[in-house]
Amino acid sequence: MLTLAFRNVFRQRLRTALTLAAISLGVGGLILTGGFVEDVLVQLREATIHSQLGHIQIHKAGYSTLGRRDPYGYLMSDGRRIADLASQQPHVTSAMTRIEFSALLNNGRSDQPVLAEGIEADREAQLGTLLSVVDGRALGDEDRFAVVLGQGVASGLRLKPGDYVTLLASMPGGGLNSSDLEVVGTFRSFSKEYDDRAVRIPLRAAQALLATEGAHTVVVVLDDTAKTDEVLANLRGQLPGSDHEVAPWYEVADFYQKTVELYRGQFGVLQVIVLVMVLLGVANSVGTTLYERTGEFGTMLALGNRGRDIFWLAMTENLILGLVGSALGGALGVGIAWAVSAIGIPMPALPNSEIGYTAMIRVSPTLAFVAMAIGTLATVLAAILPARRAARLQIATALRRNV
Amino acid sequence: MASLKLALRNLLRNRRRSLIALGALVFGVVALVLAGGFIEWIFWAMRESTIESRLGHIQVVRAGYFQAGAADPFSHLLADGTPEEAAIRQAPHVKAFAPRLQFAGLASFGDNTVSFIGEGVDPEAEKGISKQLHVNRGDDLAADDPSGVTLGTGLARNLGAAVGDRIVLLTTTATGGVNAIEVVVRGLFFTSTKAFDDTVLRVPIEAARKLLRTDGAHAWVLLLDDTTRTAGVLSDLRARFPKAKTGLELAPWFELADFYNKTVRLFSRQMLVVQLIIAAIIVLTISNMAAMNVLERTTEIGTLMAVGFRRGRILRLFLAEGVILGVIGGTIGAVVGWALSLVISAIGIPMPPPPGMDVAFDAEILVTGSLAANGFLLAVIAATLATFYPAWKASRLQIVDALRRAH
Repeated sequence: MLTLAFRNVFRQRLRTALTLAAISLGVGGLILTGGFVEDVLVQLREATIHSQLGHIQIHKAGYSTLGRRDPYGYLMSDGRRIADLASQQPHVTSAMTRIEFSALLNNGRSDQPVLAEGIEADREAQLGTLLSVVDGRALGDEDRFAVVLGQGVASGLRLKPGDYVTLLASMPGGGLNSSDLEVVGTFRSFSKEYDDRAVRIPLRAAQALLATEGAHTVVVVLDDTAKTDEVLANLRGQLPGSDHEVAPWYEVADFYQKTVELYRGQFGVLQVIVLVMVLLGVANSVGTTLYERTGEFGTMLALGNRGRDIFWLAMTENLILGLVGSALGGALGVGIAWAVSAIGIPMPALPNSEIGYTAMIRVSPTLAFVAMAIGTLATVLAAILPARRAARLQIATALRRNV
Repeated sequence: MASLKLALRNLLRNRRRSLIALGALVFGVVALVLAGGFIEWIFWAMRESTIESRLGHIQVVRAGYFQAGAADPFSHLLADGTPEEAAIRQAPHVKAFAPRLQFAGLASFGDNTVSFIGEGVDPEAEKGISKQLHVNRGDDLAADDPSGVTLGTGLARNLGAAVGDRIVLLTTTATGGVNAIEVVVRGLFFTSTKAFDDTVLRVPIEAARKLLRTDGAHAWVLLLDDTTRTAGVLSDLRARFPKAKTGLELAPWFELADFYNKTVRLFSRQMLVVQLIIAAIIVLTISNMAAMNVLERTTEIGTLMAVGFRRGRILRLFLAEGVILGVIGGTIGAVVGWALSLVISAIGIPMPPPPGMDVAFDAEILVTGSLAANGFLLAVIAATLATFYPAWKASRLQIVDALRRAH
């Protein structure tokens, strides 16, 4: 039966070619759409992580719920020690401390409320691949009384590198303190809202302004996003939950989560349309081929083959077609995905940012496997009804189709 | 003409083959129309919600306000009661006229002091413009409650204030002095922008004027009765109030909506990629069907040639069949796609809440005339082109070979 099925497949070269084309086209289409959507999400994820969040953030316990109300009550006095501890974990490329506070920035004429961050400049430079300097230069570890401004802050207060500003903040113990700083540069990030409010100063300058030794956040950066959960578990094991909260990027990035869900919903609708098209295309092709062979099946019945034999012959043929077509489609999809990725699809900036990126098509083994499984399954399922029809043919009517 | 009639007869004779090919065409067009309509709707919804997220259709400000207003707010005020104000208020298609006054300061509640950005607004006029500003606790601003303010949820959390609390607002006045007022938190709001909710509070514009010891507004925000009229109203107003003479600058929503523009640019490119894949699948499926249709009729072609049909005529005959199939399939597909879009829109496609929101929404499908026309054209062109090659190939066959194809 298998030999016969193979022979049939090879005998009807043209029909086989057309059906194979339908199947591999469908599988290839599924792989390309899926891979493209996957890439859109991965790009968004990496942009989110590398712009500000890092992979893992460590705070004093309670900071995420109550820290906004009483930021100075949640300073970690041993921030540097925890950062060093985190740096020793496998897969960790760097760990840095930050201090965040709201302040008023004054350019001599007017004030603007800003969100100030005290940072360890050189380590941040390793994380912030998407934080680009538009004017002047970035902060360095050697700076003492320097500040870099978000683009929106700089244009709002009409500041440029070389200008002097005053940063006014309230101290942990109460009372106000101010610091005169030199603007050394302006930056833009993934998020325009962030750029409209954020200024960054050296950690030491921030600690001097607030008269504290502590830090709010330890940001941990990994060499591979997929390792987040592993490192997270390690860190949680070493830092008791009663003292510290350790949060992965996906819990911190509310915007990212929602965007991903929405994207999945929107692309999901289109993917369903693609899927339906593929199923119908394959079913159409399989059905037509079997229908056109009515005369041949009549001959087989006349020669004494049973209906059952014809049914299973047709099913076996289509299983072979489905497997071969899916394999071809998989190769086609992966090949095109590879070629397209090598060239790259130029994309405009992510919403909220200024910098465009290059899209690729990311094919995971799961995606390729699912697409091929759909292709094979669709072919076999589509064959059931027409094969049953072929098995139940009246010999005389069927033979008459032989012209 | 004769081949057209013959083609029609052929299609009717091979009823089953025609139906299958027609099915492929119809499904292709329906898929294209639905996918395109879904994307169209997403853009439409994005546009309208952008306009309703406090932007309005057109904003009128003093020249230079957008560039330098944040640094020097008080020299960019629009005066009250001018003839320009009255004229713009009554311009055709203007549905709402909302003056706004921006200021910054410090808010105190108990021991907490937090810096804020304030917006003095006209509670009534803002209703249509600020639909995307959701009041989730307490009430929205009211014209009859001049000391009631609404806070962004993030700002309220930072301040530790809840609905009903009395807070003190402190700011620099127009003359450079310091002024403070006590207000009552009337409600809390959230928008799609977290940074906005973390910093902004809204007060009735009269209270803001009293606090700042000034008159007028920074911007007049206009809401039109129809988004498509924006460009017309804009050029009309710009002609009546030239910037050089009146010092007024008019900006339409699409110049102000930075986030929207970027999202649309990125999203349309992303959607284009997916749409191209869908179109490719559709064209190839149709081609596959049409090619199979011709190939299965090799014997018939042989017979036709044996009775004296010329090659050119056979080619024309099959092309005519392709065109007829394409036109019928395209028409049915466009109509069915449009009907389906109405049904699906009535039911709604459940979507998760957009970033920054807590409310999920139902997506719809918006089929435009050009979309249906594109689907139709695609069907006709694909069906014709796909018939051409196999028909041409078949018409080149030796008569005996073609006849021998019989099974």
